Amino acid sequence: MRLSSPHRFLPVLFSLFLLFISLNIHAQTDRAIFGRVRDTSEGRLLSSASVLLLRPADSVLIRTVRTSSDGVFRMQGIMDGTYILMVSFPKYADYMDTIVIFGTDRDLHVIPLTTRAQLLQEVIIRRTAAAIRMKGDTTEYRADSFHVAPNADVQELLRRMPGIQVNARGEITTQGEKVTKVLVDGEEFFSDDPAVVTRNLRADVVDKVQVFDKKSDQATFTGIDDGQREKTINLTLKEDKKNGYFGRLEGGTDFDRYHNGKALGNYFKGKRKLAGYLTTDNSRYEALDWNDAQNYSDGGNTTTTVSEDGGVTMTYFGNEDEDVQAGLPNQQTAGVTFRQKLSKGDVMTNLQYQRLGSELTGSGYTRTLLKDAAQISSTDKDQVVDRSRIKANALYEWGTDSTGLLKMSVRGASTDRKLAVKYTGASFLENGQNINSSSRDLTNNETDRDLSTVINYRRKLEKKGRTINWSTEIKAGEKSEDGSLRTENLFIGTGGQPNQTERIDQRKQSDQQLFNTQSNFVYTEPLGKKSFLIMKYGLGIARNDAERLSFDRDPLGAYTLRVDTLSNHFLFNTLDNNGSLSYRYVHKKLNFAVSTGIGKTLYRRTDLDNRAEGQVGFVNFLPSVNLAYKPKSQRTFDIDYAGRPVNPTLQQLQPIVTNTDPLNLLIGNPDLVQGFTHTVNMNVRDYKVLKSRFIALWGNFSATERAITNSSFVDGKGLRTTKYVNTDGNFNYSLRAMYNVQVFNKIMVGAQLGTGFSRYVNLVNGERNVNDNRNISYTFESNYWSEKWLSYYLSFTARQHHAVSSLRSTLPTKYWSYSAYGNVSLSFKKIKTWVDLPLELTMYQRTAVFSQARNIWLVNPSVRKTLTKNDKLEAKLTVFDLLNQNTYVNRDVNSNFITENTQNGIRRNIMFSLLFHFSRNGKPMQ
Amino acid sequence: MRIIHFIFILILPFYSTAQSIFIDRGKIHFERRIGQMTLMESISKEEESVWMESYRKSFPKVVSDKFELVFDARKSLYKSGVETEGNKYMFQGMKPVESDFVQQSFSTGESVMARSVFERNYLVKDSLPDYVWKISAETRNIAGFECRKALTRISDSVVVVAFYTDEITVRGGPEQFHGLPGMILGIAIPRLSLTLFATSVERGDGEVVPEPVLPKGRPVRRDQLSKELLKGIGDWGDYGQVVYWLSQL
Repeated sequence: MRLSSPHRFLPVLFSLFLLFISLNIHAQTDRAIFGRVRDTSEGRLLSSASVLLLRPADSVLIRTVRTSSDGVFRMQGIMDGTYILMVSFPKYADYMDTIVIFGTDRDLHVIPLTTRAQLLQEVIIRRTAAAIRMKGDTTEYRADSFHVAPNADVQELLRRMPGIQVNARGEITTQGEKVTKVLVDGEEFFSDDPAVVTRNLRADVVDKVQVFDKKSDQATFTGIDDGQREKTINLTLKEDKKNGYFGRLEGGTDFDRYHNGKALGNYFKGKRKLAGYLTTDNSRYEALDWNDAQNYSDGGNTTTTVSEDGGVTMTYFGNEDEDVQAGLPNQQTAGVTFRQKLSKGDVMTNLQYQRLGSELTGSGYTRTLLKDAAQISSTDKDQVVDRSRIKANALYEWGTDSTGLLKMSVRGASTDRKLAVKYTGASFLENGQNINSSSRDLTNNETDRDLSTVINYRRKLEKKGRTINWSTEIKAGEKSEDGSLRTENLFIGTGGQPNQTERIDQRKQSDQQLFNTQSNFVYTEPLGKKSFLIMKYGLGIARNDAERLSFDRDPLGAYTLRVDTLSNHFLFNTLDNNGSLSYRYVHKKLNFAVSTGIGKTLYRRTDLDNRAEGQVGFVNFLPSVNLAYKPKSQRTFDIDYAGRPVNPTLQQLQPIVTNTDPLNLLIGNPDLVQGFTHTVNMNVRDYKVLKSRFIALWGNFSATERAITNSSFVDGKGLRTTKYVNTDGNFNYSLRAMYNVQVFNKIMVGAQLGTGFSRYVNLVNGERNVNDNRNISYTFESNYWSEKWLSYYLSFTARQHHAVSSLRSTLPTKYWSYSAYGNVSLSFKKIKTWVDLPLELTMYQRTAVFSQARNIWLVNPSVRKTLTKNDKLEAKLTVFDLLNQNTYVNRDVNSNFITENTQNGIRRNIMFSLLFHFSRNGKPMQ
Repeated sequence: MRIIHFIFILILPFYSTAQSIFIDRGKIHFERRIGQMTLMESISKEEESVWMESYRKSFPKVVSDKFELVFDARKSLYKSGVETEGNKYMFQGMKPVESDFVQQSFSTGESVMARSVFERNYLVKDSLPDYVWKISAETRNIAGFECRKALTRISDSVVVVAFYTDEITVRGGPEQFHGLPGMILGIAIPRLSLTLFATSVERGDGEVVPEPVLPKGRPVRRDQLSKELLKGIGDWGDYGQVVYWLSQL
C-alpha cells in the first residue's frame, strides 16, 4: 500500500538530470544537510527521531543521526548526489523522500511525521478474497490442479495459484500479506529468503501447498503466545518422489583361477527400504566392505559413540572370519534387509546366508625351553574348512530417551561346519637328535543353532539426571559335533631307533545344550547438580548340559567301544549375582567417579554319569576409580584404576583330559582359586587445532595376584602335559608417546615411541619359570590429503624384542621386526582415472633361533577408470601381490615357548573387473 | 522541498501506552538458537548417511543459549548469560565460553573482544568493524519493541539479517554488530541456521557498564584472527567453514 504525490515523474527526470551533471564534475564531500522533524497533528517537535540517509540503488545506509531535543538534525560531510532521506519515529509512519545534494548545503526545513493511528482512518484496506476455500486456518491448494511446464520450479507453480502473488524478486504475497516462511514437509529451510526455497524445488515433486499463519518460533518454544503471526507456506512433497533405487553389478576375473561377482541393490519407497546382495569371491575373505554393509545390508555391528564436543566415532565389527587372512578362500554370500522407519521408531529385519570354504597350509616352529635344555618341534598343517551359515535377525525400536526408548531384537543363527586337518610333525633335542615324529588326522562336523533375544528399555525421567535402564538377554543354543581323531606318534630312542609307537583311532562326539539369561538394571539418581549416584544390579543364570563321548574301534572296525576316561556327561549351572554402587561428580573440567561392586558367582557341576555333584563359589569384589580432567578444550587427562576378580572357567576347573593333540595334553585343575587383577590406565592428550599438532601419552600397568597360568611337564620323548595353576608375580606395563604435527602445506608427520614389559610366571617340570618380555617400538608416520590429484599415508614401525626366561637366563631371544603400511592415491579427474598403490611390509630379523629372515612386501596396485559419460560403467585393473611374496608370518615369545608360524595366502594375480552402477533418485552413501 | 512522499504501512499495532520514552541505558537478554541439525544436513552431501542418523539420535535439533548485553550511551558489553545445561553442540565454537565477551565503545569507536577458538584465547583490540547495512521497509516486534529489518554481510558472503529499534538510541547490538540507527534486538543468519533475539529489555537507571575481566589471551587485530583461523581450519571443508563463520560473528 502506498500513497504517492500526483507529480511523480517530474522530480525523477530532474534528479536524473542532476545526477548526469554530478558525474561530470568532482564529487564534493563537504555538504551538510539539516532540518527539523515535527508532528503533523500536534505541531510538536520530535526529539530522538532517526534520520537516515540511504543510497537509492540498494538502500544502503550512508549516514544516520538522531534529532536533538528541539527536533533538529544535522549531517555533515555528505557527498554530492541523490539520496533517500528516511525519518522514523516510534508509532509514526515513516517519512521517505528522495533528495538531491548538489553544490550547496541543504536545508530541508520541517519534515512532517504523521501518527499511524491517524493515517489508518485515511487508508482503505483492500482485501483480496481468496478464490480457494479455507479449511480452518489453512488454505490448501492441490498442486496437480495447476498446470505448469515440465521442470518448472515451485515459484512458477505458486504464480498459478489464485490469491498468491510472486513478484520478480521472488517475494510472495498472499491475502495482502507477505509470506515470511516457506516450509517443506513442515520443516523449516532456514532460509531468510522464501525465494531460495521456491526456486530450488521442482514443481512436480510438490503434492500440496498450504498457506497459514504460523506462531512465532518464540511462542512455539516458550508456549506463551505473543500474538505474533507469520504468513507461512508449507509445501508437502509427493510420497513417490521419495522413491528410488541404487545398486551395483560387479564382476572380475584373472582369466585363470580367481574370479568374483557381486550384485547389490537398495530400493526405497518413502520410509521403507529393501536392500539385498549376492556375492561370490575366491580372491579375498571380505564379502562386503563397510560402505557396502551400510548400503546393502544391516550395517553389521556398528556402534556409535558421541563425544561431548560433537565428535562421532563409529566402530564397525565385521564378521569374525574377516579377520582371517591366511589360506585360500571361496565364499558365497547372500542377504536381504527390510527396514521401515516409523514415526517414533524403527523396524528392521535381516536375513543372511554365507558359505565359506578355505584351504590353508601352514607350518610352525616351536622351541620349548627347559631347565638347561630345549626341545625343538616343527609341524606342518593342512586344513580344509567348509562352513555354511544362515543368520536372521529382527530389530524393533520405539520411542525416545525422554519418553522411554524400547529396543527389542531377536537373532537366530544356524551354522554347519566341516573341518578336516592333517598335521605332521617332529621334535628334536638341541643337538639335532630326533625324539619323536607324529602325524594326526582330525575331522569334525559341527552343527550349531542358537537363538537369542535382547530387550532393553531406558528412560530419562523428569528430574534431570534421573534415568533408568533395564536390559535382559535370553539365549538358547544347541551344538553337536561328530568327528574322528587318528594319530600316530613314533617315539625314538637315544640310538635313533623307534622304541615306542602310540596310535589313536577314535570317534569323537559331543552334544551341548546351552541356555543363559542375563539381566541388568541401572538407576541413576542426581544428588544436587553436580553429583550422581549410580546403582546397578545384575543377575545371570546359565545352564549347560554337555556330553562328550570318545569311542575306540571294536574288532569289527566299528567305533563302539566307549573310552571312559575321555567320555563324560556334565550339567553345569552358573548363578551370577552382582550389585554395585557408584558415585560420580561432574563439574565443568572435572569428572570423577568411584565405584564399588560386590557379587557372587556360583558354579554347580553335576556328573550325570556318576551321579556326583560338586559346587564351587567365588565372591567378586569390583572396585574402580576414574578421574577425567579437561583443563581446556582439546586437552584431556584421564586416570583410572580398576580391580577385578579372575575366576577360573569351567573348562579350567574340570579334571578332564582333552586328547585332540596327544603330544600336548591339557588337564583341568579343580583346586584353582580366584585371581585378582589391578589395572591402572592413564592418558594425556593435547590437540592444538589451529597449529594442527597432536600430543598424546598413554600408560598402563596391570598386575595379577594368583594369576591362572600353567604348569607343564615335558618328558624326554617330547610329550607335554599342561595343567592350569595359580602363580604369583605376574605383571605388565606399557608406555607410549605420540607427536603429530603439520609441517607445511597439509603434510602431517608424526612419531611414536613405545615401550612395554611383561612378566609371566609358570612352572616347567615343577620349577618356577619367570619370563620377561620387553619391547621398544619406534613409529614414523606421515600423510597428506588433497582433493586435487595426490594423497598418501604411510606408517613405518621398527620394534626391538627382547625376551628372557629364567630357565635359560644366559640365552635371551633378541630380534628386530619391522612393519609398514601405506597408500598413494593419484586421481586424474580429466581422464576419469584413479590409481591406488597400497603397500604392506612385514619383516622379521634372522636370529639364532629363527634361521630365516622373513621379508614380505605386499604391493597391490590398482587402476580404475569410468568409461561412460554418466560414470555408470567403470573398469578396474587390480594386481594383488605384485612381487608374489604373500605369506602370513607370526613370531611370538610366550612363556617358555618361542614360536614362528607361517601360513599361505593368495598369491600374485591380475584381476580385471567391470562395475556397473545404477540408480534413480538416490545414490549410495560413501 | 518535498518531491516524493512514500508512506509504508506494515504492521498496525495498537499500543496501550501512547507515549514513547527513549532508552539509552539498560540490559538486554538475548536468546541464541541454532538449528544445528539443519545446519549439519545442509553441509553434509548425503541426507541419509549413517552419520546423519547417529547425529539425529544423539543431538538436539536446536541448541539455545542465553546472552546478555549491558549498555549505555558510551559503551556496551556483551557476554554469555546463564548457562543452559545439557546442551550438546555439533560444531566447535557453538558452546558459549564464559570468559568471552565483546565490548563496543561508541565514544572512541573501538572494540575489545575476548574470543576462545579451539585451544587459543585471543584478545582482539581493534576499531569497531564496518558493516554496510541495507535498510528494508519490513518491521517486526521483538521483546515488545518495534524493529526494522536491515541486511549486511560478514566474511564477504554470509548474509546477516538484523532488526533494530528506534526506541533504544544506542547504536550497538549483540556480538560485534552495530551501526544501525538504534539498538539491534534481533539477528538471523540463514546460512548458519542461527537466530539471536532479545527476550527482554531492562531499562537501566544510573548503573554503569561493567569493565570486563580481561582473560589471558594473544593480543591480535581482527584480520590477524581471521588469518590464523583460516590457516588452521581453512582446509576442513564445509565444517571448517561453519566454524570459521561462527568465530567471525
